[in-house]
Amino acid sequence: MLLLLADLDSRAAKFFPVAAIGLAALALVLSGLLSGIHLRELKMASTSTNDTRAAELATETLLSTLQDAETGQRGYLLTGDLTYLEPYDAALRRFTTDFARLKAMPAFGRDWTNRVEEIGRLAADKLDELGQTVVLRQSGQAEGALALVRTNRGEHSMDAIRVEVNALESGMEASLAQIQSRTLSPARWIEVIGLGALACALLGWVALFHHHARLRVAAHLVRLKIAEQEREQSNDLLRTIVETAPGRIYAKDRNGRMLLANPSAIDLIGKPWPDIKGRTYLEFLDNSIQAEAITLNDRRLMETGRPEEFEESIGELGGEARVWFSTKAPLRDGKGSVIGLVGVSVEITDRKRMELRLRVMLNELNHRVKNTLTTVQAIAAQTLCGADNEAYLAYERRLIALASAHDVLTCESWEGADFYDVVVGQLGPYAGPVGDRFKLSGPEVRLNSRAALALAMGLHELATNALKYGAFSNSVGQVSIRWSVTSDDVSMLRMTWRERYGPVVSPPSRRGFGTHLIERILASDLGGVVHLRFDDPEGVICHIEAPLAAVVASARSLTLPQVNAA
Amino acid sequence: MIICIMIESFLGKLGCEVVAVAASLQDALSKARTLVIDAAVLDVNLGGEMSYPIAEALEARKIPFLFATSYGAKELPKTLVGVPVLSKPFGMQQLAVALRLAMNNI
Repeated sequence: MLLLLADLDSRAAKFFPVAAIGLAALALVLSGLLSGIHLRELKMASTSTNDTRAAELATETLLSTLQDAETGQRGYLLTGDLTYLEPYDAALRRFTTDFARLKAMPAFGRDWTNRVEEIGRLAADKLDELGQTVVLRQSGQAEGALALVRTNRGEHSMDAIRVEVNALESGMEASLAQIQSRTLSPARWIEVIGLGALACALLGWVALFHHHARLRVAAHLVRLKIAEQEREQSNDLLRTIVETAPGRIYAKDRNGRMLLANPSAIDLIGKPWPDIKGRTYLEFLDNSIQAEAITLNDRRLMETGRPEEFEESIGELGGEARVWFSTKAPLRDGKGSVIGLVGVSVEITDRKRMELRLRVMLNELNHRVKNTLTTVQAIAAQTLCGADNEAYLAYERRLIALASAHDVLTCESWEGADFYDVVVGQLGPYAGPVGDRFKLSGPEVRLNSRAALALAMGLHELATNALKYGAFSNSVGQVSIRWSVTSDDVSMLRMTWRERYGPVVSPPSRRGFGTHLIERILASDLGGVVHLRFDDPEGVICHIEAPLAAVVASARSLTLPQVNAA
Repeated sequence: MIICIMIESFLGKLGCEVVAVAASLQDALSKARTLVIDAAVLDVNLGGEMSYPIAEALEARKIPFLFATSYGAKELPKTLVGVPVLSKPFGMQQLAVALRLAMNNI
């Protein structure tokens, strides 16, 4: 039955439960009506039953009254005692009311009235007979009375009355039976209809419930469909982006097997997707060194679980490795554990080539500058040949210091130089490795080119003086260079050059070019203050102070970590 | 050339005798193969050409030599590690130190 319901379309499916419930309602109404009728009939039956009982009682009473009269008469006749006439008289008196009562009863059947009339006649006859016998006895004719009794006239009357009474009673019983049967059949019908109504109502309920459930399911399905469409649309969008984006987009699983590669990536790999899918780099990349480097790095990235940016070499073009800027991130599942890696790579081979060219050019330039400086040195040597050798040597040293500073700057593409590198570059030739005869201590400070050159020249002068008169002039002298960055309202770079264990300090009689260079030129180039002190007997002290902003290089250009393959 | 003259005068002051000077790769190569010399000073870049073949020739003859270059020492090929490198511009004292190093190595 329920399967049937499922096949019907919405409207028919709705009709059935409504019809069922309508039918149930109708049945209830019908049963109500029938009940009403039934109740009325029951009432009538009740009344009829009471009437029948009353009629029965009336007939019984009549009969007993007649019998009482008879008994009284018999007694008197036998004994002649007048006391026996009392019940006889009482019965006589009662008879009228009894009979009247019987006559008042409703008719039970067709012959009722006739029989009652007959009973009346027979009773009158019987009473007449009884009366005659009593009169006879009263008048002393006992024999005559008895003879009358023996005629059995009274006997016959009584019997006839009994017959009529019996007939009456059967009629009453028949009537009762009829009433009872009449009231029973509607009751059965009502039961049946009531049950039927209940069944209909239940079915109707179930059908309606089922119908509503189907409606809810249908609505839910529609919602699901809409959600799925939206999801498909967004998937299509993503797919289009992945397919057409200029970069190489790819994903691999924890074991390095390829999960996804957009057309650009497949193009780079140079093999069809079926050959790449599910395989590792070591399996399908031609350059195994590159493949290994990438695989190791990817593995490391999946371990650390953090996205990274770097340059790497993949593939070759014209004998040159192609360089890529890659952004790679770990791929996670719903629970957040790493299940693979996803990456986007953009080619930067041209940019790298350009960088390389620039680098080469810069080196070339440096090389040429130093050649020029050497030429200048040679010219000076020739020009001063024979003249003041000391002067020439001092000049030569300064030139070399300048060239050395150039070297440091070229290393950094002239974007700046580390304070530390500048100091070591200048003092190294005089004092050997750091720690030997000079000690350095200070934070990492990146100087701009101008400050780096100025500092280099200044340090050269200090070192030269230390060599000639100060801490580097003996075998035990030491130089300590300490620098720091302080931040009052204006950030300052402070440096202190301190010599120890050298010969006793005496202020120079004449402030030569060296001192001049240190105190004034350096200060000017650094935009700060330089103070050379000869007052401490332990050794020469030089304080340099400059605003950090004036000496520091601008933010370092982005050099990305390299994943080196070849 | 003027640099060459300067180096010559340095060497002279240091007590050396300059036997020959070459300005091209070919010239230098033939001289390196034939001349009897105690040491040599090589500029890495000879008019655009690298002087490594000369270095090899000298090495084969077990003649000590040093490089004078305005390039950095890092840019020398690895086979020539251990050869003293003088960074131009350099002074006479530095030349002396480098020569001593070169001659002690052999």
